[in-house]
Amino acid sequence: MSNNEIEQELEECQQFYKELLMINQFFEQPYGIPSPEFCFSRLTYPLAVHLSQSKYFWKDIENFCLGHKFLFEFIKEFYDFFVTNIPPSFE
Amino acid sequence: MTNASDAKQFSCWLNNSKSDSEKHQRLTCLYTMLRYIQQVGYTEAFNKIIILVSKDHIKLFEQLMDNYNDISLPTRKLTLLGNQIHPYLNELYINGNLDSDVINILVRRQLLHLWKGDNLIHLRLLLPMCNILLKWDHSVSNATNQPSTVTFNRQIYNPLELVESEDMPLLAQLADLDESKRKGLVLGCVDFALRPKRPLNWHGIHKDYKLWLSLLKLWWHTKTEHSNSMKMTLVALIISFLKHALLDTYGETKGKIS
Repeated sequence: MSNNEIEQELEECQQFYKELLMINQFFEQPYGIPSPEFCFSRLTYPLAVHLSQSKYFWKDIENFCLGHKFLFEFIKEFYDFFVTNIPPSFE
Repeated sequence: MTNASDAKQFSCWLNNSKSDSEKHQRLTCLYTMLRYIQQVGYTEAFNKIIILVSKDHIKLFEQLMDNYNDISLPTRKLTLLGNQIHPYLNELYINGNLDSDVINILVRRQLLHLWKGDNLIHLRLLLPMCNILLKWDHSVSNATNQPSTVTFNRQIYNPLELVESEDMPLLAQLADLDESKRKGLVLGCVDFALRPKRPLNWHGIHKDYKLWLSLLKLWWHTKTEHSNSMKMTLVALIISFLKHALLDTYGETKGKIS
Protein backbone atom coordinates (compact mmCIF):
# COMPACT_ATOMS: atom_id res chain seq x y z
CA MET A 1 0.00 0.00 0.00
CA SER A 2 1.62 3.22 -1.01
CA ASN A 3 0.47 6.59 -2.11
CA ASN A 4 2.88 8.90 -3.87
CA GLU A 5 0.77 11.96 -3.33
CA ILE A 6 0.61 11.43 0.42
CA GLU A 7 4.36 10.84 0.57
CA GLN A 8 5.00 14.08 -1.26
CA GLU A 9 2.61 16.02 0.94
CA LEU A 10 4.32 14.73 4.08
CA GLU A 11 7.72 15.66 2.63
CA GLU A 12 6.47 19.17 1.94
CA CYS A 13 5.14 19.41 5.49
CA GLN A 14 8.45 18.17 6.89
CA GLN A 15 10.22 20.82 4.85
CA PHE A 16 8.12 23.49 6.55
CA TYR A 17 9.10 21.99 9.89
CA LYS A 18 12.75 22.41 8.99
CA GLU A 19 12.17 26.01 7.91
CA LEU A 20 10.25 26.91 11.07
CA LEU A 21 13.09 25.39 13.05
CA MET A 22 15.58 27.58 11.15
CA ILE A 23 13.61 30.74 11.82
CA ASN A 24 13.07 29.88 15.48
CA GLN A 25 16.81 29.21 15.83
CA PHE A 26 17.71 32.44 14.04
CA PHE A 27 15.73 34.41 16.62
CA GLU A 28 17.29 32.41 19.49
CA GLN A 29 14.44 29.99 20.01
CA PRO A 30 11.78 32.10 21.68
CA TYR A 31 9.36 29.21 21.10
CA GLY A 32 9.55 25.57 21.95
CA ILE A 33 8.86 23.45 18.90
CA PRO A 34 7.51 19.91 19.32
CA SER A 35 10.02 17.19 18.40
CA PRO A 36 9.79 16.01 14.81
CA GLU A 37 8.83 12.51 15.93
CA PHE A 38 5.71 13.97 17.55
CA CYS A 39 4.75 15.80 14.38
CA PHE A 40 5.65 13.04 11.89
CA SER A 41 5.57 9.65 13.52
CA ARG A 42 5.59 6.17 12.03
CA LEU A 43 1.85 6.27 12.44
CA THR A 44 1.27 9.28 10.18
CA TYR A 45 1.87 7.86 6.71
CA PRO A 46 0.10 4.47 7.08
CA LEU A 47 -2.79 6.20 8.82
CA ALA A 48 -3.12 8.72 5.98
CA VAL A 49 -3.02 5.94 3.39
CA HIS A 50 -5.56 3.84 5.28
CA LEU A 51 -7.96 6.76 5.72
CA SER A 52 -7.66 7.81 2.08
CA GLN A 53 -8.69 4.29 1.02
CA SER A 54 -11.52 3.98 3.51
CA LYS A 55 -15.11 4.62 2.56
CA TYR A 56 -16.17 5.60 6.05
CA PHE A 57 -13.11 7.34 7.41
CA TRP A 58 -14.93 9.19 10.17
CA LYS A 59 -16.12 5.80 11.43
CA ASP A 60 -12.52 4.57 11.34
CA ILE A 61 -11.38 7.56 13.34
CA GLU A 62 -14.15 7.03 15.84
CA ASN A 63 -12.98 3.43 16.28
CA PHE A 64 -9.41 4.66 16.65
CA CYS A 65 -10.59 6.89 19.50
CA LEU A 66 -11.85 3.79 21.31
CA GLY A 67 -15.16 5.37 22.18
CA HIS A 68 -13.71 8.57 23.65
CA LYS A 69 -16.24 11.03 22.29
CA PHE A 70 -14.32 14.08 23.51
CA LEU A 71 -11.20 13.01 21.63
CA PHE A 72 -13.16 12.31 18.47
CA GLU A 73 -14.90 15.70 18.63
CA PHE A 74 -11.54 17.39 19.24
CA ILE A 75 -10.04 15.80 16.13
CA LYS A 76 -13.08 16.77 14.10
CA GLU A 77 -12.89 20.34 15.38
CA PHE A 78 -9.23 20.60 14.38
CA TYR A 79 -10.01 19.24 10.93
CA ASP A 80 -12.90 21.65 10.39
CA PHE A 81 -10.71 24.49 11.60
CA PHE A 82 -8.29 23.97 8.73
CA VAL A 83 -10.67 22.83 6.04
CA THR A 84 -13.49 25.30 6.44
CA ASN A 85 -11.52 28.27 7.81
CA ILE A 86 -14.58 29.43 9.68
CA PRO A 87 -13.50 30.24 13.27
CA PRO A 88 -12.98 34.00 13.26
CA SER A 89 -10.53 33.89 16.13
CA PHE A 90 -7.89 32.40 13.87
CA GLU A 91 -8.53 34.30 10.66
CA MET B 1 24.12 -0.31 39.46
CA THR B 2 24.37 3.06 41.08
CA ASN B 3 22.45 3.86 44.26
CA ALA B 4 20.58 6.67 42.52
CA SER B 5 17.03 7.25 43.71
CA ASP B 6 15.51 6.26 40.38
CA ALA B 7 17.69 3.21 39.75
CA LYS B 8 14.74 0.86 40.24
CA GLN B 9 12.53 2.81 37.85
CA PHE B 10 15.29 2.93 35.28
CA SER B 11 15.81 -0.81 35.55
CA CYS B 12 12.10 -1.42 35.23
CA TRP B 13 11.83 0.82 32.18
CA LEU B 14 14.86 -0.79 30.55
CA ASN B 15 13.58 -4.31 31.07
CA ASN B 16 10.23 -3.38 29.56
CA SER B 17 11.70 -1.67 26.52
CA LYS B 18 12.19 -3.53 23.27
CA SER B 19 15.91 -3.42 22.74
CA ASP B 20 18.73 -5.88 22.46
CA SER B 21 21.29 -6.64 25.14
CA GLU B 22 23.97 -4.42 23.55
CA LYS B 23 21.65 -1.41 23.70
CA HIS B 24 20.78 -2.40 27.28
CA GLN B 25 24.44 -2.30 28.20
CA ARG B 26 25.04 1.04 26.51
CA LEU B 27 22.00 2.64 28.09
CA THR B 28 22.90 1.26 31.53
CA CYS B 29 26.43 2.57 31.13
CA LEU B 30 25.21 6.03 30.10
CA TYR B 31 22.70 6.16 32.91
CA THR B 32 25.22 5.04 35.53
CA MET B 33 27.80 7.55 34.31
CA LEU B 34 25.27 10.36 34.33
CA ARG B 35 24.11 9.65 37.88
CA TYR B 36 27.72 9.24 39.01
CA ILE B 37 28.77 12.58 37.51
CA GLN B 38 25.74 14.29 39.04
CA GLN B 39 26.57 12.72 42.39
CA VAL B 40 30.30 13.56 42.67
CA GLY B 41 30.51 16.63 40.43
CA TYR B 42 32.18 16.76 37.03
CA THR B 43 35.68 17.62 38.26
CA GLU B 44 36.01 14.59 40.49
CA ALA B 45 34.26 12.40 37.95
CA PHE B 46 36.69 13.48 35.23
CA ASN B 47 39.70 12.88 37.48
CA LYS B 48 38.47 9.39 38.31
CA ILE B 49 37.58 8.51 34.71
CA ILE B 50 40.71 9.89 33.04
CA ILE B 51 42.94 7.41 34.89
CA LEU B 52 41.05 4.64 33.14
CA VAL B 53 42.41 5.86 29.78
CA SER B 54 45.65 3.98 29.02
CA LYS B 55 48.90 5.97 28.62
CA ASP B 56 49.05 5.01 24.91
CA HIS B 57 45.70 6.63 24.27
CA ILE B 58 46.03 9.82 26.37
CA LYS B 59 47.28 11.92 23.44
CA LEU B 60 44.47 10.72 21.15
CA PHE B 61 41.96 11.33 23.91
CA GLU B 62 43.19 14.92 24.34
CA GLN B 63 42.99 15.47 20.60
CA LEU B 64 39.39 14.28 20.61
CA MET B 65 38.58 16.64 23.47
CA ASP B 66 40.15 19.54 21.58
CA ASN B 67 38.11 18.72 18.51
CA TYR B 68 34.95 18.90 20.52
CA ASN B 69 35.97 22.23 22.06
CA ASP B 70 37.04 23.91 18.88
CA ILE B 71 34.34 23.75 16.26
CA SER B 72 34.09 27.33 15.07
CA LEU B 73 33.40 27.96 11.42
CA PRO B 74 36.45 27.38 9.24
CA THR B 75 37.97 30.83 8.81
CA ARG B 76 37.83 30.57 5.04
CA LYS B 77 34.01 30.92 5.18
CA LEU B 78 33.12 34.44 4.18
CA THR B 79 29.91 35.92 2.95
CA LEU B 80 29.47 36.53 -0.77
CA LEU B 81 30.66 40.10 -0.21
CA GLY B 82 33.76 38.99 1.65
CA ASN B 83 32.62 39.68 5.22
CA GLN B 84 33.35 37.44 8.17
CA ILE B 85 30.20 35.80 9.49
CA HIS B 86 28.67 37.98 12.21
CA PRO B 87 29.53 36.84 15.76
CA TYR B 88 25.83 36.50 16.64
CA LEU B 89 25.43 33.85 13.94
CA ASN B 90 28.81 32.25 14.60
CA GLU B 91 28.00 31.81 18.28
CA LEU B 92 24.66 30.14 17.55
CA TYR B 93 26.23 27.95 14.87
CA ILE B 94 29.16 26.58 16.90
CA ASN B 95 26.80 25.75 19.75
CA GLY B 96 24.69 23.67 17.40
CA ASN B 97 21.83 26.14 17.57
CA LEU B 98 21.71 27.29 13.98
CA ASP B 99 21.09 25.32 10.80
CA SER B 100 23.95 25.64 8.31
CA ASP B 101 21.39 26.58 5.65
CA VAL B 102 21.17 29.98 7.32
CA ILE B 103 24.93 30.48 6.94
CA ASN B 104 24.53 29.31 3.33
CA ILE B 105 22.25 32.22 2.61
CA LEU B 106 25.14 34.58 3.31
CA VAL B 107 27.91 32.48 1.80
CA ARG B 108 26.27 31.29 -1.40
CA ARG B 109 23.09 33.39 -1.49
CA GLN B 110 21.22 30.14 -1.96
CA LEU B 111 17.92 29.35 -0.30
CA LEU B 112 17.09 25.72 0.40
CA HIS B 113 19.29 24.49 -2.45
CA LEU B 114 18.55 20.84 -1.61
CA TRP B 115 14.78 21.30 -1.71
CA LYS B 116 13.28 20.35 -5.06
CA GLY B 117 9.87 21.89 -4.47
CA ASP B 118 8.83 25.22 -5.93
CA ASN B 119 5.99 26.48 -3.78
CA LEU B 120 6.61 30.14 -2.99
CA ILE B 121 5.33 29.88 0.57
CA HIS B 122 8.71 28.31 1.45
CA LEU B 123 10.47 31.31 -0.04
CA ARG B 124 8.19 33.86 1.65
CA LEU B 125 8.63 32.19 5.03
CA LEU B 126 12.37 32.79 4.84
CA LEU B 127 12.39 36.21 3.15
CA PRO B 128 12.23 38.32 6.35
CA MET B 129 15.25 36.47 7.74
CA CYS B 130 17.05 36.91 4.36
CA ASN B 131 16.25 40.60 4.53
CA ILE B 132 17.97 40.95 7.91
CA LEU B 133 20.97 38.89 6.76
CA LEU B 134 21.52 40.63 3.44
CA LYS B 135 20.94 44.08 4.87
CA TRP B 136 23.77 43.42 7.30
CA ASP B 137 26.04 41.92 4.63
CA HIS B 138 25.63 44.94 2.38
CA SER B 139 25.92 47.45 5.21
CA VAL B 140 29.39 46.24 6.25
CA SER B 141 30.72 45.73 2.77
CA ASN B 142 32.48 48.16 0.47
CA ALA B 143 31.13 46.44 -2.63
CA THR B 144 28.34 48.83 -3.46
CA ASN B 145 27.26 47.47 -6.81
CA GLN B 146 26.65 43.86 -5.82
CA PRO B 147 23.04 42.76 -6.12
CA SER B 148 21.21 41.93 -2.89
CA THR B 149 19.58 38.77 -4.20
CA VAL B 150 19.13 35.11 -3.28
CA THR B 151 18.36 32.12 -5.45
CA PHE B 152 15.40 29.89 -4.75
CA ASN B 153 14.45 27.09 -7.11
CA ARG B 154 16.77 28.59 -9.76
CA GLN B 155 14.95 31.93 -9.64
CA ILE B 156 16.38 35.14 -8.28
CA TYR B 157 14.67 37.20 -5.59
CA ASN B 158 15.64 40.40 -3.79
CA PRO B 159 14.72 40.25 -0.08
CA LEU B 160 15.55 43.93 0.40
CA GLU B 161 12.87 44.85 -2.12
CA LEU B 162 10.32 42.18 -1.27
CA VAL B 163 10.15 42.81 2.48
CA GLU B 164 9.27 46.14 4.11
CA SER B 165 12.01 46.51 6.65
CA GLU B 166 11.06 49.58 8.69
CA ASP B 167 9.91 47.42 11.62
CA MET B 168 12.65 44.85 11.23
CA PRO B 169 15.59 44.85 13.62
CA LEU B 170 19.17 44.89 12.40
CA LEU B 171 21.19 41.70 12.78
CA ALA B 172 23.33 43.36 15.45
CA GLN B 173 20.21 44.16 17.49
CA LEU B 174 18.90 40.61 17.63
CA ALA B 175 21.03 39.60 20.61
CA ASP B 176 19.47 42.32 22.76
CA LEU B 177 15.84 41.80 21.87
CA ASP B 178 13.53 40.57 24.58
CA GLU B 179 11.68 37.29 24.21
CA SER B 180 8.30 38.76 23.32
CA LYS B 181 9.80 40.76 20.44
CA ARG B 182 11.59 37.67 19.14
CA LYS B 183 8.34 35.68 19.37
CA GLY B 184 6.65 38.42 17.38
CA LEU B 185 9.35 38.17 14.72
CA VAL B 186 8.92 34.40 14.36
CA LEU B 187 5.16 34.72 13.97
CA GLY B 188 5.72 37.69 11.67
CA CYS B 189 7.58 35.37 9.30
CA VAL B 190 4.62 32.98 9.31
CA ASP B 191 2.22 35.86 8.62
CA PHE B 192 4.43 37.09 5.79
CA ALA B 193 4.47 33.62 4.24
CA LEU B 194 0.70 33.34 4.33
CA ARG B 195 -0.03 36.71 2.69
CA PRO B 196 -2.27 37.94 1.24
CA LYS B 197 -4.43 36.26 3.89
CA ARG B 198 -5.13 38.38 6.95
CA PRO B 199 -2.62 38.10 9.82
CA LEU B 200 -3.41 35.24 12.15
CA ASN B 201 -4.90 35.98 15.55
CA TRP B 202 -2.86 33.94 18.01
CA HIS B 203 -4.82 35.03 21.05
CA GLY B 204 -5.60 32.13 23.34
CA ILE B 205 -3.31 29.65 21.63
CA HIS B 206 -0.68 28.22 23.95
CA LYS B 207 2.90 29.11 23.02
CA ASP B 208 3.95 25.44 22.81
CA TYR B 209 1.51 24.80 19.97
CA LYS B 210 1.86 27.96 17.93
CA LEU B 211 4.61 26.54 15.75
CA TRP B 212 2.83 23.22 15.24
CA LEU B 213 -0.31 25.03 14.12
CA SER B 214 1.80 27.30 11.91
CA LEU B 215 3.32 24.21 10.36
CA LEU B 216 -0.03 22.75 9.39
CA LYS B 217 -1.34 26.11 8.25
CA LEU B 218 1.65 26.80 6.00
CA TRP B 219 1.48 23.35 4.47
CA TRP B 220 -2.29 23.45 4.01
CA HIS B 221 -2.02 26.74 2.11
CA THR B 222 0.44 25.41 -0.46
CA LYS B 223 -2.65 24.36 -2.42
CA THR B 224 -5.88 26.24 -3.07
CA GLU B 225 -7.77 23.04 -3.89
CA HIS B 226 -7.32 20.16 -1.50
CA SER B 227 -7.55 16.59 -2.74
CA ASN B 228 -8.92 13.77 -0.65
CA SER B 229 -5.38 12.50 -0.07
CA MET B 230 -4.37 15.87 1.29
CA LYS B 231 -7.39 15.99 3.60
CA MET B 232 -6.62 12.52 4.95
CA THR B 233 -2.97 13.50 5.39
CA LEU B 234 -4.16 16.44 7.47
CA VAL B 235 -6.29 14.15 9.63
CA ALA B 236 -3.38 11.74 10.04
CA LEU B 237 -1.06 14.60 11.06
CA ILE B 238 -3.56 15.82 13.64
CA ILE B 239 -4.18 12.36 15.09
CA SER B 240 -0.52 11.32 15.25
CA PHE B 241 0.43 14.60 16.92
CA LEU B 242 -2.38 14.36 19.48
CA LYS B 243 -1.45 10.77 20.18
CA HIS B 244 2.30 11.19 20.56
CA ALA B 245 2.52 14.64 22.07
CA LEU B 246 -0.49 14.63 24.34
CA LEU B 247 -1.77 11.11 24.94
CA ASP B 248 1.12 8.64 25.03
CA THR B 249 2.43 8.24 28.55
CA TYR B 250 6.02 7.00 28.01
CA GLY B 251 6.14 5.10 31.27
CA GLU B 252 4.24 7.54 33.44
CA THR B 253 3.12 5.83 36.59
CA LYS B 254 0.38 7.24 38.81
CA GLY B 255 0.71 10.68 37.24
CA LYS B 256 4.47 10.98 37.73
CA ILE B 257 6.81 10.88 34.74
CA SER B 258 9.62 8.38 35.31
